[in-house]
Parts: sequence; structure tokens; C-alpha cells
Amino acid sequence: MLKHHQLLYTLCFCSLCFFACKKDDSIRHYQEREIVATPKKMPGNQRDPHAGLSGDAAMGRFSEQGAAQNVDLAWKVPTGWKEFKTTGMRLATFIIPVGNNDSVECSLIRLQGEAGGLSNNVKRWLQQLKITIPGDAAFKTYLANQKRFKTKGNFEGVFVDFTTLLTGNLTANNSGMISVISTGSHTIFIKLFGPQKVLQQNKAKFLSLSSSLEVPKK
Amino acid sequence: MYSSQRFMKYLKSILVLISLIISIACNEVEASPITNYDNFSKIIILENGRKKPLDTYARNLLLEFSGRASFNKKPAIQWLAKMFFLPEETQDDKIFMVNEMQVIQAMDLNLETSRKFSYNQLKDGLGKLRELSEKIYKINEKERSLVQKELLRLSHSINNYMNLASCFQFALPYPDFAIQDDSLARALGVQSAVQTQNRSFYSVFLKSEVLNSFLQDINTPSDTNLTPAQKDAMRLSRTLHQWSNYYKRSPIMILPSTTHNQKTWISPWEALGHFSHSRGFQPEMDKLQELTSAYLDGNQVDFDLGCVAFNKLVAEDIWDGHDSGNISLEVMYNKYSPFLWSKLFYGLMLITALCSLIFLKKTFYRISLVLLILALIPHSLGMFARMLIMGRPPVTNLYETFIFVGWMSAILGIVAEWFSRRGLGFIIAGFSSLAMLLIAQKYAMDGDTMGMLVAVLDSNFWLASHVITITMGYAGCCAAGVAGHVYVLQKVFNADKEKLTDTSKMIYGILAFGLVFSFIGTVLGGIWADQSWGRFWGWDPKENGALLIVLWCAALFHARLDGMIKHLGMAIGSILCTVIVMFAWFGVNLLGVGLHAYGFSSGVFLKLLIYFIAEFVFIVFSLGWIMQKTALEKKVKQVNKG
Amino acid sequence: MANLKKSKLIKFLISYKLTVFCLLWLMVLTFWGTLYQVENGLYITKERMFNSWIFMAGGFFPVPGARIILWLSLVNLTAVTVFRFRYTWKMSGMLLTHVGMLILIIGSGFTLHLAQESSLTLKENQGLNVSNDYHEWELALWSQTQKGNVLDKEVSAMGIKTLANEQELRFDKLGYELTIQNYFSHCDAFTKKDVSSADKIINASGINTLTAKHPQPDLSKNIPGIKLSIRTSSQPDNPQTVMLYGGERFPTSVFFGTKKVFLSLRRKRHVLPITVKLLDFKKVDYTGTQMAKSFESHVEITTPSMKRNVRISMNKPLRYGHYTFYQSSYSQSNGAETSTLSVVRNSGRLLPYIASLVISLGMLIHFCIVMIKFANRKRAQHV
Repeated sequence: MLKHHQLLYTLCFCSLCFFACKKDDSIRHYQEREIVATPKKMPGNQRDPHAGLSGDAAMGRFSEQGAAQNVDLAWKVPTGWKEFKTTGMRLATFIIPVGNNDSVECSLIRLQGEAGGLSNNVKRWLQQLKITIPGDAAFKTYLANQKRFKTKGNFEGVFVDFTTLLTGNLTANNSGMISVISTGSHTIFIKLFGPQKVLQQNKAKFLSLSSSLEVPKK
Repeated sequence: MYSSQRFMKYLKSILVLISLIISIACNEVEASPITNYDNFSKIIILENGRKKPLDTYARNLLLEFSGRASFNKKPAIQWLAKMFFLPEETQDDKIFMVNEMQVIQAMDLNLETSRKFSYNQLKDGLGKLRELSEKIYKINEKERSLVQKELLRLSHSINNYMNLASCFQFALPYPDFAIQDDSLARALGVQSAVQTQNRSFYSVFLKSEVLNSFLQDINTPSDTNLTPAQKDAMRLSRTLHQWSNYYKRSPIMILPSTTHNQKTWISPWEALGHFSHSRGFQPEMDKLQELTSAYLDGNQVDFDLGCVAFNKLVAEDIWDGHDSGNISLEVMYNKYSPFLWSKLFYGLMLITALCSLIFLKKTFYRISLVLLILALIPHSLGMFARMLIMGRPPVTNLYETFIFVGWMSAILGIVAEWFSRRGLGFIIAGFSSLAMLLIAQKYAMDGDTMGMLVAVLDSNFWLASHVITITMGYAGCCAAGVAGHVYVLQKVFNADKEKLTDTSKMIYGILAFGLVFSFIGTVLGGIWADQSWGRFWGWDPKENGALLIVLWCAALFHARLDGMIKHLGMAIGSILCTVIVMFAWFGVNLLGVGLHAYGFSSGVFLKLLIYFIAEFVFIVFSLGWIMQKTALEKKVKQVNKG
Repeated sequence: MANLKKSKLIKFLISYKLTVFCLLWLMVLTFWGTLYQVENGLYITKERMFNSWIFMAGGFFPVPGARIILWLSLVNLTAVTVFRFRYTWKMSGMLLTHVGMLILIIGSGFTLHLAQESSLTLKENQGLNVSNDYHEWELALWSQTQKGNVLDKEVSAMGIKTLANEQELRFDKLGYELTIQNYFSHCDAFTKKDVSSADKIINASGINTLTAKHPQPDLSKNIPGIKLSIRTSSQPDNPQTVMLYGGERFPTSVFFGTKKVFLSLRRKRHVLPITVKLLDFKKVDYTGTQMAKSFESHVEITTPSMKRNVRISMNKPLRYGHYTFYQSSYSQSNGAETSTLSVVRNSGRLLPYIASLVISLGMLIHFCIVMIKFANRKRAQHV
């Protein structure tokens, strides 16, 4: 019997509960406390955990002649030249229009280390251009007389100009000028091979390109 | 007739012999004579967060491509090996299942109507396929038509196929890596006699230091003053570079690695990418090269040795002491496909049980009993193996609910049989278990049936309590539904009264079992929800589904108590109960709302609808029949009285 | 008692027909409500079907809602337990089951009326002693003081349901008086200035105009806005005009001389008995996938007596008194992690547990009794 009563009581109690609740919109007062978050330093967390481990960089080791660590370079393209970005050791190619729908190509190449040294390279280029290499002593003075300059990014450069070297039919169509710039870890060659006349016309632009090299500001 | 057949047979074998001789003479083995893939199938691969044997991977892959877990009646792993090591030879294998011919037409291909196509058949339409699938990607997933979905699926399969073809390219010999220059060959340590042989990427890649030394003073690729050795080195180096760039995204994560204290798995191509930092992966990669060469040479012993050695190396690397026993167990589970055997035995048992109702009663009854036990053994073993492999309770996903409900129904059938001994329990067990296993088979098509669980489900305690009880409830209701059908049929076919009461009691008992477990399961679900979401009940569709079952069963029992319904009413009620279970089980997922909305298959809706209609037609017709008959009997009685 | 039992009303109340009706109608509602959710969403479905007395089918035809049915069931169950059941061992299982059902229904009433759900979103290192309501809004005024990294706010707040245009409000404790100029239950906010009004409008987010929108049926989706004037009780003649919008992130501050007061129209805050500070949030993925294996919030709670560290993860909530804190969601961006805990206060939380236990026990007992009976009869038959 007691059980029955209990149940009835429960019933009454819960009915009370059901009806006792009313929505109340009067003003209430409370204390709110906030612990303000100080920006948390997360050492190392900002770093991309895979930086330097991507396939590209890792594979770069045997890509032709070891192009590219992540030293970025910036330069200013002379007016009238068109730039094509490429990858590998050739960082850029510039097309220089020369009337009659013709053009010559200038390339910007980056190689690791000293890349064989200045004199060896110059010798090879002269060979390529079929220009006879003068005797050792003469060659040395020739090299020593080439223009030294500093780029915008404070790199040391040498401007090797073949256009002044010889004149004549052979070189009229087949001359060259090269800037050899050292960034410390790399050597940069800016090469422009082509007819002597065109080269001479573009000499100023070529020099401005060479001296505009710098490490881009982030 | 006979002699001509015989002649053809001879001709055939002679042709085979000739071709064999030719192939040996040409030093080109047509089909690799590797016959045993046991060790190869135990290679561990990480896919979707789970470490699984290559065997499982191969099965799921073929299932995804072709709808079958084998190719030309040969195990999937054998095909996968061919895919890895002789990718060109798989291009004529008809592995791409296309369910809609419109897909083929949309690809601008003119092919005969068929269900399966090979890569070579489809390759001319790939451009079009890519173009179409890019457009389809932009359409909202719910608004895609069946053909569009099929196009996407095919596109995905072919992409997957093409990626797989590149997995082992690093170890396969190619003319690109033959060394042409003598001095370079000498420097690379290759004997001049074999120098022009095809070589693999990997063999040259290992020597890339030497190659680099040859390249040191080249300045431009167009340099004209190169020595032949330099030219050859340049060519090789450039090919290496191109290949590694091209293949670096290749799939199959089979090498465990730790980068920045993070555990990851990487593919062989990625491992090659890591070579520049450390040669940590060289032993593993060497083994992969060895086993590839062994496969191509048809050298079973070396192939096995390579696989075993590779597995051993990987096992040493696995950090959390993953029991390699599980891998072997999974390979075994795949190999013996226990549920296939259960299906077979359940099917046979159903036939013999039905026979036992008609003739040779005792013999067939005994055979049924033996068959049921034979079916239960692989069924239980299969479930147990899955539990061991995953370290989980038996039910963690939709696929496993069917396996478990089938098992539970069989047990219920046996218990029912223990009480009644009229063969009815066998029919219940056979019918519902077979149906459940067949449905499970359909769901296995979706891919790996042993997926990882989302965070909220990651609780063995609740999986073991709530999920098991609720599925037991489902099983009870389904079994009661089968018994309900039996009762109605008995009524239609004029079974004697004793049999009818027996069936009726059985329905009552099984339905009560269903109610008890559905209710406990539902309540446990509420408690789990309270634990993880903070509310006991939230009117979520899946919760509603479970509630519907409970309410219906409760209503049936109360109506029965009051006499509102009698035996026939209970029988029909239990049939409807199965309908409700099906709604709660699949239908709710189709709605696509709520917290439980996992897994959605487009074909399910139609099948479910057909099932619902079929049940209603069954009920209406049999009821009509029975009512007409009783009316007739009444009349006869009246006439007799009169 | 005997007389009572014979009365028609009691006969009706203990009838199986009523039970079956209740069960079937609840079934219909459940099924209907499941489909209704697809179109209308969970909140509206709950409001219209499951928490309501009457449900308008098709928008015009009144049918009983779940609340009526549950009340009927409650009465039915009570009447049955009192008048129908014979208190014998044989019936003990069934009796237990029905008593359990009774507790379950009472428990659901408790939950409906007393449970309070809210959420608590914390950045790492941030701590709060209040949680946000999911649906209701409040108009809050406060003055604040900061000591170190602890910000204390003395808040006076009121619900906005009864707000009306031209209404005067007195926040005596802080000493301010407010006049509501415009109240929108659902609106859009614009920074464009309304040319017709000459008032200088103060707002932290640069809002100058509010335009009313048609209120949504799902009340929780409405974003209210208020234009009001505020003045100090001591100097009532220098009112300032403030615009508040529910979608703002920061409160608007108003100066009266050197006195600074903050105003905000925000989700109603519930004061918690503890301060919860998020120390760290951790998400672990399955290897090689983006699929989460687990979420975990490490928090520090400050109770009146002490500070202690607690880990809250999926399926492992923190319980404190009548309050329970669950891992609900998270966000990760720019290296900063935010964790959202849902906070439920339910003093009747244990009722469903007790009910479930009682019912399950009852069912099992009954099932066993019936089985034993059945087996005995069977044996008797065989003998």
C-alpha cells in the first residue's frame, strides 16, 4: 500500500516541477571571470616539419649539375627583354628581340661553388666561339683588364666582354659577353651569345641586368 | 567428332610447346613462373591509417576496380604482383567494371556492350573522361546522377591503376638506363659485357655520386664540347631527375619512417627522395630491388627470400610492436574466406531443412543439424579472427552488423530448435543467416571492411555493450520476422493446429528476446550519448529508429495481452517488425541527417523499397487468402449445421 | 480502493487500449519526426513535435504532440502500477519494468525542464567561469577590472524576449538607465550611416544601421539588434546612443566622464561553479591520414577550494556537481588551437540511468521467468 502512495507523491512532485518553471526575464547579476590568454610561444612549431625534405629538393642533388639550394635570387629585367623562368640550373632565359622577327637569347645560370674557375671557363667559351686563345701572358692581362663590378645585392662580378676582342666576319655573327658573379656558395653566369652588333647595342642593358642581382627581401 | 577434338588438343599443346621454346630462345619469359605469393602477400602496407597485409590491399583494390576480389580465378595478390613488376602486361586485363554503358559512350568510345574493360580498351577515352570528371567534381555530391557517379568512379579507378603501375618502376630494367659509354660503365663498376643491358632506375640511382663527378665541369646542357662519357652521364642524370620528379607521388606506403618524431609511412619513391639525407632506407630498397629482379627472372626462391628479408627489416622498424601474427592471421583469413564457407553450408542446410519438412524427415533433419554446425564453425572463427586482427569487439561497422546478426540468428535458430524440434529453428537460422551474409557481401564491395574508427566510436567498452546488444535486438526481430513468415505460410497451406501454436510460441519468445535486447541496446546507446555528447536522448534519426523497434514490439505485446490481436496478428506484427528493423538499420542512413549518418549507398534505397513493397504484397495477399478461407470454412460450418 | 477500481475513468486509464494507443502514436510521431528533420532540421522538429503539446500536421491540423502522449503514458503507467498489477513474484519482472518506465518518463520531464545546455569555447591559456547558451540572448552591462591576466567583470544582464520599443530599463546595481529605441529580433547590421538620424551612434564594430529581417522559425538562428540610449542614474540628462548587434565579437564601451561601462548583446551566459582554463588541446590522427583518432583538452579547473588539472576527451567528460563538460569540437588555425566544450547542467541526470537499470533488470527477470516456465512445460509434455 505504501508503494502506491509513494508513486502518487512522486507524481505530484513532478507535476509541481513541470509547472514551477517559468521563463524569467528580470535583471540578474553575476560575476564573470576571464583568464586572458597570453599568446603562447611555440618554438619550432611554425617551422614546416617537411621543409627541405620534399622530393624536389632532395632530388636536386643529381639534377644536372646540382642546381639550387634554396637561395633565391632576384633581378631586374631590362626594358624590351622578355623573361622566361625555367628550372634547374638555368634560372631564367631572356629573349631579346632583334628586328625582322629575329631574337637572341640571354641566359642566367647558377652553378654550385666556383664552377671551374674564371679562367677555365673563359678559355672554354673562347674555344666555343672559335676565337684563338692568346698566349698565357696575354690572356692573363686580358682577364685582369675585364671590368669588375658589384651588384645591388653586394655580390662581386666580372664582366667578360668578347665583343671588343676581335672584329671581322667570323666574330660579327658569333660573339659573346658574360658576367660571372659569385654569391659565395654559388657562381652565376649571365651569358649572351650572338652577333657582335646586337651585343654591343644591348651592352648597357646587359650590365644593368648583371648589377641588379640581389637576394630578395622577405 | 571425338578425334577432331583430340586433334585440336594435341595441336594446342604443340603450339604451347613451340611458343615456350621460342620464348626461352628469345630469353623472354612470357608469364612469370612465380607460383607462391605467401611471403609477398605478408608485406605490410599502410592504407587509410591501418597496417594491413598486401594481400588485403590487393583484394580491396581489385574489388574496387572489378567488383571481384580475384582476377581470372587467380588470387588478387598474383595480379597485384603483375601490376607492380610487369605493368605493361596488365593493360589487356579486363579489370575495370563499368555498370553503365552510357559511361563508355560518354567517353566517345565505340565498344561492345560488356561489363568489364581493359586499360587498352579505355585509354583512348581517357582525355574525355578527365574532362568530364573535372566537370562532375564541381557538381554537388548529392546532385550527381548515377552515370556521373559511375564516371567518377571509373576515372578514380584508372588514375589509381596508372599510379600503381609506377610503384616499382624504380626496380624494373629499362633501356633508358642502359649505359652506352665504356669509360662511364667502367667508372660505374659495370662490366663492359653487360653494359648495354637494360638497367633499373635504382641501380643507376645508387651510383649517382659517380655520375655527378662526370658532370662537374659542364656548364650548360647545350654544351657542345662534351666527352661521350659526359654526354652519357648527363643523359642518365637527366633521366633520373625526370623520373624521380615524375614518380615521386607514387602510392603504396610500405616503409615505416620517423620524421621529426612523427610516425609516418612512405612509398619506395619517397624513400628514394630521402636518400640524399641519409641512406637509412637502402637495406629495404635493396631488398625490393632483389625481389623485383627475382620475380622478373622467375626465381621463386630468391623472390621468397627477398620478401622475407624485406618483411624482417620492416618488422624491426615498426615502433609500436605491432604483432606480425595479426598480419599472418589476416592473410589466412583472406585465404580461407570463412564466410564463403558459412554461406555455402547455410544454403545447403536451408535446402535440407525444407526437405525435412516434406520427406525423409529424420535423415534430412540430422543432415541439417550437421550442416548448421558446419556453417557456424567458420562463421564463428571468421568473426573471432576479425576481432583478433582489429583488437575490437565483433561489431564496429555496418558490414560487421550483418555478419553478427547472421551469427546471432543462427544461434537463436538453434535455441528455438532445442525447444520445438520441428525443423523450424533451422529454417529461421538458415534463412536469416544466409540473407545477412549475402547482404554483408554486398557491403564488402565498398572496400576495406576493417576500417579505422572515428574518434567518438573509439571505445571498446561501448562498442562491446551498446552495439552488441542493439544488434542482438535486430537479430531477434529479424528471426521473429522469418518465423512470422513461416506462420503465415503454414496458415495458408493449412498446417495442423499443433504446428501453428508451436510456431506462434516461437514468435512470441524470439520477439520477446528482440524487445529485451533492442531496449537494453537503445538505453545503453542513450547512456553512451550522455557520456560523449551530453544528452541521453536527442531524437537523432538512428536513435529514433531504435525507439521505433522498441515501441512496436511493446505495442504488439500489449495488444496481444488485451486480445486486440491473436496469433496471426503477432505473426504479421513480427513481419512488420522486420520492416521497421530494416528502416532503422539502412533507411535512417539514407536520410543523410544526424550524428549516425555514416555510410551511404545509392543502390540501397531502391532495394529497400522493393523489400518493403514485397513484404506488404506478401501480407496483403496471404491475409486475403486466409480471410477468404476462414469465411469459406464458416459458411461450410453453417451449411453443415443448417 | 475496490470502488475506485470499478470506476469508468480508472478502467479507461488502466486499459491496454490506452497503452497501445500511446505506443503507436509515439511511434507515428517518432517516424514522422525522423522524416520531418530532413526538411526542417532537428531544432524545429524537437520544438514542434517532441517538446510540444499539440503538433500542427501540415501546418493546420492539430494532432497530439509527444508531450501529451508522454503525460498520458505517465498517467496510464501510474494507474496500471497502482490498480492493475498483482504484486506476486511471477509478475516481479514486469512490475520492475513498468516502474522503470515511470522513472524514465519522469526523468525526461526533469531533463526537459531543468537541463541547461551551453557551450564553452576557449583558446589555449584562456579561462572562463561562464558558458554560452545555445539559443537565448541577453543584454549585458558590466564594468571590469583587470589584475594581471585575470579580468573580473561585474555583470548585470537581462533576457531580451520581453524587450519592447520605448521600454525603460534600470540597471540600479551599476547605476545606469537605458531606453530601448529600437529592438529587432532578427536583423542585419551595416556600417553605412542612416542620414535621417542625427544621433552620434557608439558601436565597437562601427555599426551605424540595423535593418529588420523576417524572424526565422528556428529561433536559434535569429540574430537580434538593439538601438538604445544610456545614461547614468545620477546625471540623467546626458544620454548617449548605442547600437548593439548579436553578431559582434567585441563589446561596446561607453564613457561617462572617467566611468567606463561595457555593453553587449550576446548569448546568455550561465555562471559555472568553477573556472575552466584550457591548457592544451591535442588531436591525434591515425598514421598517414587526416582522420582523427582522438581529441583531448587539458584543462585547469579552479574550484572554490583548489586548482587541479583535468583531461577531457571523447567519451570521457568531466563531471562536477550537476555539471558535465564534454569535448565537443575544436578549431586549429595559425598555430592557435581552440577547443569547444559543451556544458550540461542536469540535476536529474541520474534518473535515466536508474530507470534503464530497473527496466533492463525487470525485462531480464521476466524473460527468465517465462523461459523457465516454457522449459518446464516442455519437459512436462515430454514426460
